[in-house]
This record gives sequence, C-alpha cells and structure tokens, in this order.
Amino acid sequence: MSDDANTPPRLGADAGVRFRLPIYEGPLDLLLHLLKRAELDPHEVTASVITEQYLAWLELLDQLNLDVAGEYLVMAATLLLIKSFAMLPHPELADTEEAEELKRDLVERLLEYQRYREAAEKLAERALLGRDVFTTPGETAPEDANARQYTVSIFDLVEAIGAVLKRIADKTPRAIELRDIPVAECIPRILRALEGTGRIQFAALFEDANDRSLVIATFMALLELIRRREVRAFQEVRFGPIFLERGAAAA
Amino acid sequence: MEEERLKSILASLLFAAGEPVSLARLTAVFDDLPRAAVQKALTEMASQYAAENRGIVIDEVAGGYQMRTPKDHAGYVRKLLAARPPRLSRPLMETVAIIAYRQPITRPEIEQLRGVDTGGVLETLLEKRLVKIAGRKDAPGRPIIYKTTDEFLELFGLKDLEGLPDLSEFREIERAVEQANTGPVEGIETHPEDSAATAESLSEEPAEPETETSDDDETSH
Repeated sequence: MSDDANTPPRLGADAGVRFRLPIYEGPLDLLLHLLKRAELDPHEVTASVITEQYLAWLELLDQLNLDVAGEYLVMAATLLLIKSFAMLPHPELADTEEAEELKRDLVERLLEYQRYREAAEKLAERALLGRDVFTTPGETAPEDANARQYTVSIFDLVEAIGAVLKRIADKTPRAIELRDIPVAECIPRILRALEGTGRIQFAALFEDANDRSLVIATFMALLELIRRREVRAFQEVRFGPIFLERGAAAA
Repeated sequence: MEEERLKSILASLLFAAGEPVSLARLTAVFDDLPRAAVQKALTEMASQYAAENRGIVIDEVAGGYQMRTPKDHAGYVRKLLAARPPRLSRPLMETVAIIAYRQPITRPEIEQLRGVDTGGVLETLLEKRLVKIAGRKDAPGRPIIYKTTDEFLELFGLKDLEGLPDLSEFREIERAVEQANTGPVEGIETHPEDSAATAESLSEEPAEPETETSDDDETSH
C-alpha cells in the first residue's frame, strides 16, 4: 500500500498490525482530505474516485466498530445521489437541474468550510497570549472600587443556578419527591437574607438547600425580585462570583 | 505634565493593570490631560519600546493597551514560568474562527458550516471565556446566539474584530453573495438572510465597543 490515506488499510490478514487513523472532523473534513490526496480541487468533489474512497472510509470505520455519525451517512447519500444522476443512461430523463444544484451546494459548502479552516490556521499562528507572549498578572481589583460593577445577565444567573442544581443532584436521593413550593413563599426568605449583611453571594442563597424544587422556587422568586428591581445582581469582576443586594425599588 | 513623566506613569499603569486598558480609562487617571496627549504618549512609547528592544512591548489589544513580552523571548519566559500553553484543538479553532467571522451566530449555523455536531466544542469555548452567549435570535425556536469575547481578542493579540486575518477577503465574498442574492434567485440556495446578517454585524461590530454592558442591562431587567 503506497498511500494508506487514499486506500483505507485493510483489516484481516495481519490483524496484529495497529493502524493509526487520522481523526477527521466530520464529512467535510474527510472530503477535503481525500481531495487533497487525489490532488483534486473541491469543484471536483463529485469525481467517482472521491465517492469510492469516501465510502471505503465509512466501511473501514464500521469495521473498526467506530461510531459513524449520522452526518457522514447523509453525506454518503448525497454523493451517491449525485453519482446516480450522472450514471443514468438517458440524461434527458434525469433531473439534471437537481443534480447540478446538489453538486453546487456541496462544492460551496466545501469551499466555505475550507476558508474557515484556513482562517483558523492563521489565527492559531498568531502570537498567542500564554504561549508566545506574556503579560503581568495584574491586580484583579475592579477598575473603580465603587462604581465599577458588572451587571449580571439572565444567562449568567441561569448558568449559576445550573451549577447549584448540579451540586444538589449529586447529594439528593434518587427518590422522586413532588413538592409544591409556592414562589411567593420564597420571596420573604430572600429579602430576609439580604437584610443584615447588605449583600450576599448568589451561591450562599442556596447553601443549605438540597431540595431541587426548593432551589427552583427560590430561583424563580429571585428572578421576580430582580425584575421588580427589589434585588440587584452584579459582579465585581467580570465572570467573578455573583452578588445580590437590595435594589433601587427597595430603597 | 512633562512628557517623559507622563510616559513613565503610563508605563506603571500598564504594568500594574496587566489586562488591556482602554485609552478612556488611562486618560481618566489624570486630572486634566486631553485624550490626544495620552494617546500620543502611548504611540511614542510603543515605537520606542520596540526600537530599543526593551524586552517589553506595548500592544493595542482588545480595545486597549497592554504590556507584553515580545514573541522572540517566548522560550525564556515559558521556561521561567513553566507555563502550560493554552490547548487549542483544531475543532476548537475552527469553531471559534467561524464564530469570530460570522457573529452573531447560532449553533445550527455553526454546525451547518462545519458539518458536524459542535455542542462539546461550544461548551469548551464558553468555559474558556473565548465565546459568550449574546442573547437569542428572533427566529423559530429562539436559538441562542454566540459572539466572541474580549478575552478572545486578548488571546490572539487582536485590536478588534477588524484585525482578524483576511477579513477583507471574507467581506468581499459576503458582498458577492449578497449581490447574487439581490437578483432573482432560482435554484441556488445561498441563505440570503445569513449573509446579509453577517455583513451587517461585521460592519457594526467596531462601532459598539460597549456591547457587553448594554446587552446585560437589557437582559437583566
């Protein structure tokens, strides 16, 4: 075998030999690789040699019991469909327009994918912070101790509650417990928690809650309070811990 | 203020900050200095530092100024810090490149371009803070839209998104696609709304550096 990437290695005879498979990132990546090996342009993706090699790869992956993702099969179907159009004895019977369109779509996708791949390579060649260039760690204090606070978005909050739920999922017993906790009941508890200290960390609000429905009800109550501006959520450092304090409407 | 003293203070500021500091923030440190004076000093410092091989360069990164070590000293610095360089796999690089050029973009759009499932990679990018969730698209299913962060610009030493390699080439392509779409389209499916949105976002991006705070304000109230 002169070129093991063109013809997939055959298994069987010397099964003791282990093959190192190049890892392909999806059907487009595999197609680009096959085209490059065959010294063909992406415009020639429908060349039968490419279709054959592509199918041979799928077979190999199958033999190796590697999971062939659905998208590989979709691509195989597309290639075969285009090929079948080309092979019809009476071209006038074929929907040549459809075949052309399929081909054009595929070529376009390949070219576009190739462009981003090249862009990614160029990016990776840049002087990377932490690899090629370095800076001082800096003081993490906020730019202006009082004024500079970052408003927390709903996405940050959801992410934070996700972490809480994940934590309790590990400790709660697997029994399903249906408890109906009215959101309204949670509101005074949140406000009480904010009373003395002025501000608390988001996570602290859920510290001793180990019941999923209680956490969710408390979270809904918190969202409601934030919406009414009775509570304010903020960060002192971007991506830092989320703090809660009484909001403008509370004053 | 004497020019040399200004430069010397600016050096202290950049050294202490570590992160990229915007011209506005630097100017705010001084009581009555015009922005232009600070900018002029910074520009002169940058060329002085480079010309004198000082071992520190001043780069314009992520909308601010940052002190960095020059690339040719990387080997020595790495050895000293025993630093593990950021791990950037190819799928990760491909995905972040697509987001950088096409933002704001949804996960199905990314997957259409890459031809594979991208969930895991996206999660890693979010964890590494190279990408952020920028809201939801006003489309069926309200899919989440992604954008790159300032940390992305900092990691790759980019001043802004305009500094992305070959952006002009991409733009020309986008423009060509757009033009093709303005004519009667038959047969070819080029996703007209996608390319239009991209061209728009690319041209808008540098004009709104405060996106982050304004986004947050909208979503949290």
